[in-house]
Amino acid sequence: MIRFYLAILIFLSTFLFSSNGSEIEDIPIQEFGRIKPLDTFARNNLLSFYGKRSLKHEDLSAIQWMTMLFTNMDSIFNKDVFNIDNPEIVYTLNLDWENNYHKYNYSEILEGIKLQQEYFTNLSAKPEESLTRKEIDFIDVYNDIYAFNELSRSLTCLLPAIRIEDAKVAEYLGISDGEVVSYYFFIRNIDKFSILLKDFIDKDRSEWSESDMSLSSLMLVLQQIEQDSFSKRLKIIPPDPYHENESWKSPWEILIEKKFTDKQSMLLLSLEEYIHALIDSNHELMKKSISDYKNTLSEIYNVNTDILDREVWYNKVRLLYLTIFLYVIAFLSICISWTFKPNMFCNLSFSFILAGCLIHLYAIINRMIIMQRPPVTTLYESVIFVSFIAVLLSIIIEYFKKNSSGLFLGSIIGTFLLFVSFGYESDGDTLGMLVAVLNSNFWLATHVVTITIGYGVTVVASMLGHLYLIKKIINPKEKKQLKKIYDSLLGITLFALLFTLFGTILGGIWADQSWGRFWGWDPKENGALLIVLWLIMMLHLRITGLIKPLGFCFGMVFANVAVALAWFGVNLLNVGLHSYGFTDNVATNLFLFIFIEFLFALITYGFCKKYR
Amino acid sequence: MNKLNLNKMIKFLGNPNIFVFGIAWMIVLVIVGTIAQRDMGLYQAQQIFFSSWVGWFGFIPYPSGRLLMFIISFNLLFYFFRPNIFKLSKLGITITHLGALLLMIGGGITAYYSQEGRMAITEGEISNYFEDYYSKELVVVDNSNQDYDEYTVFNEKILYDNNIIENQSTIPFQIEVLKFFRNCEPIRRDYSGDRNSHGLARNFYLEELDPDKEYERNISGVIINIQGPDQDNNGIYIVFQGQPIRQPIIYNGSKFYLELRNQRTYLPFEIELLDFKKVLHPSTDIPKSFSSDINLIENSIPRYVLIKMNEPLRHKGYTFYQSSFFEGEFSDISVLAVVENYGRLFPYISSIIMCIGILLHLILKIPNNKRNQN
Repeated sequence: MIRFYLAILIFLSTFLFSSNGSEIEDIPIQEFGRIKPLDTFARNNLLSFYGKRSLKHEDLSAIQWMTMLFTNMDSIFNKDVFNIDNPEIVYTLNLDWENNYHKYNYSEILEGIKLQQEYFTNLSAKPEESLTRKEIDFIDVYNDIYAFNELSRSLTCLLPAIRIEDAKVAEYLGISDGEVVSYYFFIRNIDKFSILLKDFIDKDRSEWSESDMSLSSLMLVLQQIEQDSFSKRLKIIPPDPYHENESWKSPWEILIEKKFTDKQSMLLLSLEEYIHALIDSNHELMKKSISDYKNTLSEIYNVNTDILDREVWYNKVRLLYLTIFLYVIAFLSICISWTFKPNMFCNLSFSFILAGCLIHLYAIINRMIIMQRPPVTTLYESVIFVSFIAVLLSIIIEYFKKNSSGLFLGSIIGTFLLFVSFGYESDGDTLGMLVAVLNSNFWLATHVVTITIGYGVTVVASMLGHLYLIKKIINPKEKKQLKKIYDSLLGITLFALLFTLFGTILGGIWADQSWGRFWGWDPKENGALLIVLWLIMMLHLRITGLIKPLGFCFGMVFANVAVALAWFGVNLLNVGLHSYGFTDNVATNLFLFIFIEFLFALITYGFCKKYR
Repeated sequence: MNKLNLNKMIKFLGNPNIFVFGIAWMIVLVIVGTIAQRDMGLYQAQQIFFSSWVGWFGFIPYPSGRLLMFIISFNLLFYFFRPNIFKLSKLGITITHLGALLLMIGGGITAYYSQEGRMAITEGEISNYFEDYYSKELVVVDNSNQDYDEYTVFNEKILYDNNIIENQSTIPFQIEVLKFFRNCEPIRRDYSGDRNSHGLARNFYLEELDPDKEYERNISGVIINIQGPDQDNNGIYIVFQGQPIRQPIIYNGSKFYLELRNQRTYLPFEIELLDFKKVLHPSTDIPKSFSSDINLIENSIPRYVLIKMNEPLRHKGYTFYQSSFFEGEFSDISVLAVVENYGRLFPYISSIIMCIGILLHLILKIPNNKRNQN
């Protein structure tokens, strides 16, 4: 067995060292109120344009792509990074629908938008409520193009773009003739430059010397570059002196406001050095400049490099992909075990699901450390957490009952829920900040964790109900097996009731603490109540003898429906304090899920009744 | 014989089937009541499905939330008259049921003996009352005395259509409520009203609107008929919420004002808002925290207190929560939610009791299970 675990370990470790990084990936940036590594920023931006977090076909990581974007290499504008999967939009923009999986580049889309300028101008003037779904898609494309452009201008102030042709000007500025400098160079040497300008402004155009002509065209170039100063997305310069509630600024913001401290100026200088070294492919200098940059940064504020590095690492290894992979293998192993070498494959399956669960847990712990808060704060995180709880519980069931039902359920629930979570992941950064009322670690740690554990336990209980019905059909004679499942189901239902009930009451107590009311019949509260009531009803129906074990399992199938309604359904209503907004997609999937559950329950129950 | 009957009765009232069907009906109510919120708003749905005794589905009455919870609680109460419930094997269950009963009792107390509202204070100003979210009141202010104003206040409960309010010692006329609107809109008349209409009613009439989904957005209004000895000023007046100028009445030479406003509750102390603070997550619009610096003034002695989100002020049975705010050009307005609830502690106690109960039951059950298996 030990050899086997070692094999798994070696296999897993291959995942951990498989990506190409960059010196700047762990530089902190402030976005959406959070300080995060540039790597995450790059991934989120690429995700919003491209739909994925790296350019696989180009073999470029997000951060590499972004570095190219910053240096304004021509090729970057011709890379197909915009995903448009609506043919109508593609045709309107005069593009080719059949091309390259509906990926398009900046230049061609911009061309298309220019052709339809009138339509887009008209669209942006419309009030938000009157927009149709399609029009919103159009606006999204437009906004993406704008965002891309803004992002590409982020560091143009540091790019070597201005060649000093005139010897006199060069001498004044203390550089050699023909040297190429950046916009920031002029800001830095504003004293010297203003002396030059002073003479120049006083002169009449007819008296201009060659140096003056050169100066005039220099001014023109500077003005042109300065048009990029609208670029505010790359907020990498922290306030100095530092204060955590203050906004960080983009290099352009700093330069245009013309109020920067020595340290901030040093940051810009190091960045400039880095960009120049990058263009010259001088790796030594790139490393040095970034290390200078980080040193200066740490003089401004106490940079938490551990968390930044951890997040970069977390981005790269994608622990949850690994987890789902292991769950799938565990599921396959258990399937194989039914026909071939049951013992070995059962053990194999157990090891895989255990390894998966541990990595799952580690992913959650990583997120907690990065955000410095309890495990569940968003819908996405709740899905991850519930699937973890469900798998964990399944493993515990398996450990005690040893009838492979735990393995079977755990691998199915884990895979299914993680798959659901990936849908939410593609919305963007999954590590967001919280509004004031939720911003309380105590309540997040108690109420939210308890109720999500409740969801997880209820799902497992419900799945045991499913399993009972299936087994009853396949193997009605195995009374002992069925009894075993039923006993576990009864116990777990009690646990589910404990957690959902206590979680719901804790939620009420939080509401009492925050708004002064324990219960307000808000949809989310009602959703949680629905699960509690359903569990109470099922337990009492069984205790009073109104239903038999078969009926109990039949009823418990619907506990899943109650959980789905409480968890996702109430968001569709868009009322009350708990709603997070929703998409049509969620509604369709939810109804489909409920429909399937009903179908399953009715068919299996009918079958059991008829042929028992 | 008598005892037998009593036992039968207890058995009937405590029949767990009642409980099961009650819960089943509750599930239906919760689902319908939640979906209904989408169309009628939270407050209305809550009133219809959860806070009333009986609901009507066309002509057919059905037990609504309050009646249902009363039945369930009553049924639950009779659980405790059963034999053998204090046996060790049943102790966990009994404790759980006790907790549940307490929770229901707490709910009942809250439903009847709690009061909530909002207190909006501008920075630098002092307030000593809070306003109910929903209930209105009609106020008649006697302005004739130079030193003080005399307020006579009528609750919404008596402002029902065709009710005549008479014999008030503080006002010289009787008020007949012709029509009360939960939500209405003042509309300018094409022609001036007849001689019987006075004040605003001469040029405006009130048109009834459907209640808004967000109940607090409703503008309530009332049409009243004033009758008394002063023939010239008898007649019809209209008053609505948020009227720019209070409706004046000169009656028998004295000056009165009419006003319709949210029902006020006065506190035995005052609150002065010193400063309202809002902190955003940097470079976003996402609020990180809200707080109000206040002075709690009692017997003219101020004491400094900070009220924050999730950290309310509790004083003399009232609790003040940071609820919302309005930002002004010169000064902000902080809105505090004010609650007085005698049933506050019940959920805290009952949840602990229930948890102990279920845990105890599970612990007692586990060895049982093991034995069954062996």
